[in-house]
Amino acid sequence: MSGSKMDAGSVSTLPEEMIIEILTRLAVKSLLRFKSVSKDWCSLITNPEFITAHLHNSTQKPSILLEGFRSEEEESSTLSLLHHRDTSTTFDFLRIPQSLMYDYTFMRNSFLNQEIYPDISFTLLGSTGGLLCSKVCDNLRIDYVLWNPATRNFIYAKRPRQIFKILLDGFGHNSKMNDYMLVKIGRLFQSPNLDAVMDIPFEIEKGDFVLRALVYSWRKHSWRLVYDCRIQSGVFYPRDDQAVSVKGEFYWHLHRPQDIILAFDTDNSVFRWIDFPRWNQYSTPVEVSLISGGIKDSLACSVFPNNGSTSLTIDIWVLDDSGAGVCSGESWTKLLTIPFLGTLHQVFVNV
Amino acid sequence: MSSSTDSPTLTTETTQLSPQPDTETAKPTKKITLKSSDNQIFEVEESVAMEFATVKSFFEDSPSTDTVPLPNVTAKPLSQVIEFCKEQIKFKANPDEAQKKKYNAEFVTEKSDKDLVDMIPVANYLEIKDLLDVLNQAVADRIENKSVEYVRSFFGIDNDFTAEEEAALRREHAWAYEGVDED
Repeated sequence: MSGSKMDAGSVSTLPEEMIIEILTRLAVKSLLRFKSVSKDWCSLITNPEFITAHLHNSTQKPSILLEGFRSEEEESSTLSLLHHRDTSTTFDFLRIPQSLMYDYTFMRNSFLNQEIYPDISFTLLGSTGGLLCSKVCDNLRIDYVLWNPATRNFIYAKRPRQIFKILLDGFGHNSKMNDYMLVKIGRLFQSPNLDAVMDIPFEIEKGDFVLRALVYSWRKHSWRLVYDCRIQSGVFYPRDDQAVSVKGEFYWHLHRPQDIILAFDTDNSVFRWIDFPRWNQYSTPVEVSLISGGIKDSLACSVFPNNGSTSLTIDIWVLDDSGAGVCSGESWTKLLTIPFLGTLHQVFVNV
Repeated sequence: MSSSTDSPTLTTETTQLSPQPDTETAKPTKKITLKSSDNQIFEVEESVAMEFATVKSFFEDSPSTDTVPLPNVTAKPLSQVIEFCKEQIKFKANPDEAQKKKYNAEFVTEKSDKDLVDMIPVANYLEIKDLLDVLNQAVADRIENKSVEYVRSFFGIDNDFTAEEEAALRREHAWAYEGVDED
């Protein structure tokens, strides 16, 4: 709009609740700038209630986060955001803030010789509530960073004091505690005398062992170690890198060697195994995949024809979950059947 | 709310037998009088006035009144709000989302900044949710990607930061000040 529309007389200032209604519709970039309009606006824009209202408003029109890998071998991914609005669809390449990497290099350099340039990879772990959690790795260690691409703020997770061998990890939001959580599943590395902390990247384990979880609270900025001795893991292989998080519970799709789900409840700090829907209902070979974010606050999975099958539908199943104990294949309800769309690619939706 | 069908007194036999009695359109629609704070009188059709939740509940509480005083509302924004609601009634009768969107967009495009902002408290007071949505979005669109100075003058806000405080805020999010539209 041009300045010519400005009337000579000054516009009467609106009451605060009406200003809020207008500001919740603005992009984060504008809001950060308008903190310097006045002291009232600054305290309004930084008010947690306003931030929650703004997030709620913007998730009515979620942006889709796309993650791409340039090649099969590439560890680092590129991220882009697709904004779909009434008037237009725009596309943003998400740049990893330079300062984020500088911080990382700085941290690394406090441990390493300055001459050695760390070979860093940056991988998306998950996304919820407009925040991205990424794994920043080099050959020696893994760090986790929570990144808000809208404000360009980021915050590193502290390193845990325990030396831990990671088998699985995941990121999600626990709405009951209004906390963002990072969960690492694995086993302790037996080196009690070492004070330095080190994460060893994924490596296949042999034999049974007790599962342990390291749970990070972004609210408290602290790790807590969870032992659950009731469950033996056996050998497993992660099927999907991404954990699915629904209502504070994390789910990983594993091969053991059959498909199975490992669940970890962050509220009660317990593990459990969940079977996929019964295979014998299907006459042809099928594949299963967990659905990112679940459906209507329940874990959901899709069952679709194996390569070469002639079946042309995908079934969507939802877990009827009492939240207690072991879930068998009977605990699933078929929600709907949709036409087979070809190969499925996982996308994250920023909600 | 009475219509021709439940009219208590009957007319002649001929009109009863008439297949399509034309009483609906022939009957003059009920008018409601609204009085602005600057004592201007607006006569609007009942259906339009019922779009204003505040006026509607006023009538439900005191059905015998014929003039509704609106002490918080001046004539100019009120006339614009009535103009908007008259059109919305037409879209209610003949739903056409594309036309409605087009009308709503044109309605705000041709208004000055002052007109838009002055209508917001009126739409809020009269509880016209659709209009409030349209106005809030229109104002948001006009200030999105504009400079801080532009927004201050848009809303008539005085800068109460010291130069140092303002400079510190600008440094904190320097990138948010890049690529901003010309005022």
